[in-house]
Amino acid sequence: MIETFVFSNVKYVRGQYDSQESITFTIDGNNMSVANGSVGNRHYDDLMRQVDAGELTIAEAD
Amino acid sequence: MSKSRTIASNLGTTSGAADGGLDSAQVLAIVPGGFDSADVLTISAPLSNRNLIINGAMAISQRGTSISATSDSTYTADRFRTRNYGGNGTYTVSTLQTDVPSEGGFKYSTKFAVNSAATDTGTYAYGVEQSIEGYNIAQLRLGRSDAKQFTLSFWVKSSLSGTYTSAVRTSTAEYSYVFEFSLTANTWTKITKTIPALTSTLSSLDETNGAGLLVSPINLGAQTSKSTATTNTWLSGNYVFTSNQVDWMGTAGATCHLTGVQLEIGNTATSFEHKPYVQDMTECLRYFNRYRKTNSYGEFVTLRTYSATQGTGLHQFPTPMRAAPTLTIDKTVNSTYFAYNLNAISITGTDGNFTGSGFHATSASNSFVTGGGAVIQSNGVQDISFNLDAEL
Repeated sequence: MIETFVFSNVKYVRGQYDSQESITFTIDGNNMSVANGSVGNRHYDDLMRQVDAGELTIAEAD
Repeated sequence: MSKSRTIASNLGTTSGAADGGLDSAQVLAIVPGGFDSADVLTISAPLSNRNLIINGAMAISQRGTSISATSDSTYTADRFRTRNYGGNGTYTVSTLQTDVPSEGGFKYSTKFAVNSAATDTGTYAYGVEQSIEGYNIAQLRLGRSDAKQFTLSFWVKSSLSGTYTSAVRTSTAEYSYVFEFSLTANTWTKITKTIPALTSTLSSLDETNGAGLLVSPINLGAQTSKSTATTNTWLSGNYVFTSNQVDWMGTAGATCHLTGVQLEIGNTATSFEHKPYVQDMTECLRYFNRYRKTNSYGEFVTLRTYSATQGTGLHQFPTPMRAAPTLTIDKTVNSTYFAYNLNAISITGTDGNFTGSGFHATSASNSFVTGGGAVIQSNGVQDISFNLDAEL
């Protein structure tokens, strides 16, 4: 079962070669990051579920 | 006379060797002809690594010893999490508690206490759960004709007497098994329950690195939508409670201790399998790793700096993690806590076996040397944790 989280400040992180290398976000005031494409990670899976459902947008990296 | 009777009768007259064991002559005295392969093969369950629950003795608690659980899925002692199915009650969880049963050899229990009593009881519910990884439950053969029965056991003590419930659910809660048990207030009680083989065909079951089996040793409130009156049998659907469940979370000051959680193949609750500390710890590190530094300028990750503000590095995990982890740093990334005037740290790609991952760091003040090296480190004496989370 995919767990449901309340995300805020969701944004891609630019790496040396990839403009969407990681994703940073906040849950319950905690700043977190996860590598883009981390299927099986409970935070990443729910991020993508909410994006696919149109409930969430990931901001582009600076 | 059967061999087992021969052993039993001869054991009564044979003394052990001086070192406490038996020598070959004594073995032959006890078992005429000695043991043959058939005797050995009568062992039907594993003697070690039989407990599919990780950290069942509650000895590992990387997240600290006092945890406030105000929302669903708050991890406490490693691998165990509180469940809050939408209610307004909250827990305070104290780990590494020395209030333990008088038998079983336990050193610690985990204590759950009502912090804020629920006022929405019946509508929402609460409990304690461990998700077992799919790889580790594949041997149960769930959903197949050769499925195995298994036995759940645990020690529990609650300040409230009455009827409690336990539940086991398949990974997507396609099938559930709920049973009741009774507790006397403030009395350690060992609960054991053999759960029959689940032979009904499943449409989904994770037997790889996802959640395979959801085990809720004790529930602390009941929710109407997940309650059933049918117990002691596998049910199609998502059920966790019965309506008889004690309204623990609705009672201010209520407490509950839990330890000795074990789930094993077969119909017998064997004595709890105490593992070496390092084995317990290593098993937990697959799901969560608190990478903590308290020393002056403590180093976390060595970087290759590809510009004056950007650098990348590699961090090896102490054991392969279940999946690519989430990184949480318990301090703000700024010049107060980190050298090089860092203002951002993120985790990047992980290898296919999840044995390590990249890190990316940004300096706010061009503190790096292009084409040089640096290190993610604390600024002076700090207490900083990088929490790597690959929980289910």
